[in-house]
Amino acid sequence: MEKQSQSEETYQEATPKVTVGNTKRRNLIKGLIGLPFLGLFFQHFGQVQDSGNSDNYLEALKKLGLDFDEVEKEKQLKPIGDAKTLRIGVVGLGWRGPDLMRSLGYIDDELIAEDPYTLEEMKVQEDLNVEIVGVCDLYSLRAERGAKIGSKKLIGGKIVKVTPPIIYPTYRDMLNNDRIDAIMIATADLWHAEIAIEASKRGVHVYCEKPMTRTIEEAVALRKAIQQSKVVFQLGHQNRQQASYIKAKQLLDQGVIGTVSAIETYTDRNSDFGAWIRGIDPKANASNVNWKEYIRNTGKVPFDLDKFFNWQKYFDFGTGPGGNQFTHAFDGVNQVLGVGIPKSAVALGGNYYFKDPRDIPDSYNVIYNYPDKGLTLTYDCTLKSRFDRGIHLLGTKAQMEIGAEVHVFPDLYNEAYMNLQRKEGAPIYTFPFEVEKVDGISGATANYYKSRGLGTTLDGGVIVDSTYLHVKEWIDAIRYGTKVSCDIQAGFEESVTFIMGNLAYQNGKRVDWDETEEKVIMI
Amino acid sequence: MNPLFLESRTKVYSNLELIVLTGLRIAIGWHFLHEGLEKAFQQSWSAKAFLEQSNNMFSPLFHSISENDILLGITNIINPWGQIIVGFSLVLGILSKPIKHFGLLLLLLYYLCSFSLGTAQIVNPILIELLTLGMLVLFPTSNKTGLDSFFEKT
Repeated sequence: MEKQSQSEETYQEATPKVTVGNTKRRNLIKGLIGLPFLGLFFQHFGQVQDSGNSDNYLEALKKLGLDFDEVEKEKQLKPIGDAKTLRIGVVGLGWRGPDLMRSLGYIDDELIAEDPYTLEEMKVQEDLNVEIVGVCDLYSLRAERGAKIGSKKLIGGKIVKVTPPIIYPTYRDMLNNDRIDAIMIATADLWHAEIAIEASKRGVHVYCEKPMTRTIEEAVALRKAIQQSKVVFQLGHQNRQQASYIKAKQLLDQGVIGTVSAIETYTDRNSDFGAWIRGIDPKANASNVNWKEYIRNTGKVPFDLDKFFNWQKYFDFGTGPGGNQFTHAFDGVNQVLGVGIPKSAVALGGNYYFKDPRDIPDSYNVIYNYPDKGLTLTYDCTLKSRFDRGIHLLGTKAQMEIGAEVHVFPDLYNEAYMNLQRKEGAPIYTFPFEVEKVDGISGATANYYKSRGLGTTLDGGVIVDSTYLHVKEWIDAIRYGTKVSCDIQAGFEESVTFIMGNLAYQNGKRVDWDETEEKVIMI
Repeated sequence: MNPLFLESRTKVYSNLELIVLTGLRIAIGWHFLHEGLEKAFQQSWSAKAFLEQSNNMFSPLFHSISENDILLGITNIINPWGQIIVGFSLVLGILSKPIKHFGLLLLLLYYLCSFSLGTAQIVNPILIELLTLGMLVLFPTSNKTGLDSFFEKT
């Protein structure tokens, strides 16, 4: 310290005496240098506060009907544990089957390894008081994997061993055995309708992965079968549980974006996996794949493991980008706007990039026309460019983009909305609010919720697997007669709409929907 | 004034050095002041979301704060007002020495809460601000270009 003082004194002494007055003045000015900056700050800050005060801004948004409250869902309050244990069978254990089992609380090491968040997210899931009593897959190793998953369950935060489910060779054996109350269908698309119809005839409740059916005839038959039965049917569009979609519907019902004249939906992928090249299990062969059953409804097709494992690439087994991807967007649009089945569809596209065996397009564009609603809906798909775009609803007052979040962009001519825009091109509203507003001193880069995409959602402020919520809704409906959000009618509209696009593409014609006869007309 | 509260320097800065260092001090102060006042003006602001999204080895500490109403309440007061105090101090150059250390503590906590193990997340803007403020502790200016200079022994 002494040394320091000395050098300071040295500095002071070094100042020439003749300029003492000037130095004093200069030191005074120097010492007060922060003051003008402080003035500048408050002048600027005051302006920002007047025009964009966070509270004023929120208040202004509120006046336009744009609030940030999560829409409360009706909760089933009866204790699940008191109800009878629901016996469930799972058919199809390739991609979605294990996910569905996880949503029921079943888990194995592979599922944990696939996603490090799995266990944490599962811990917030309620025990649904169900038992997976049967599994079935036409590839025996997958069926065994299903039985393995079905032998471990997360109970009270701990993985415990439970009685493993019975492996059935076919879904019919499972149904005939009469041991299940409900069935979950996660097979290739061509089997959805038959399994669901057979289950409903036996009074077995049905949860079916999307798309509901592969053909319009199947959709008509399945709807009839479900309506004639007493079973609860839920189609696996978990966007129905997404907080963002539910919020979007609430906002749209209030008319925040005005009249919607155009809806744009997209799939932009750029990977083999995204183009449904999912690989062929090297252990699979004619002895452990039940090919005969697989092609029972398809006619004679020579044994081909590509058509078994990568069935999405073939219209005989799958449904192309329309059934695989557009159905997500369509059901989202139908959920928030209730557009229903369009009057007509035209489609173009082709298979330009993927030269492996396949007959589905990798570039596919459809226009759906809704003359009675005064709008068109488009679907644009490329499998050779990766870009994340949500559903775009173009309204007279604003544009809404719906994905994991809801964004509202002002119409450029709408003064009330434009005044709220803080940065050119930026949305004036984003839900959930916290995603935009996590802030220490400079805002955080990582955002857990956003990074989890559409697989999870907010439920009462908690991050939850959306498939779990969707399955729970179905189980609650079976037990307590509550409603499901993606029922047979929603499924019917989903299937007819995407199949109209497929037919338009395959036949090179405009396809109209005859509402009375419930059939398509090629123009 | 007590040397604990006043900065002193052993080296004479050139005019340019003094201008740049003072500019840096005022700029960081400006940022603190803005962040603090914005939070203070926004009644609904809470540190909860920031604490909850912490995703690293220190997360349990920050999550426990976010889950405890009393601790969260204290955090919600210390944060905006702490930032405002640091902001005023840096812009005006008053009581710089202790308050810079307080600013460093705040930034260190923000960093520990927010960093995660990714190239962009290990070195984030908070870390850069933390190190820059650290540099201003080593190269003080308030005793020349701040109100602290009026308290300096002449």
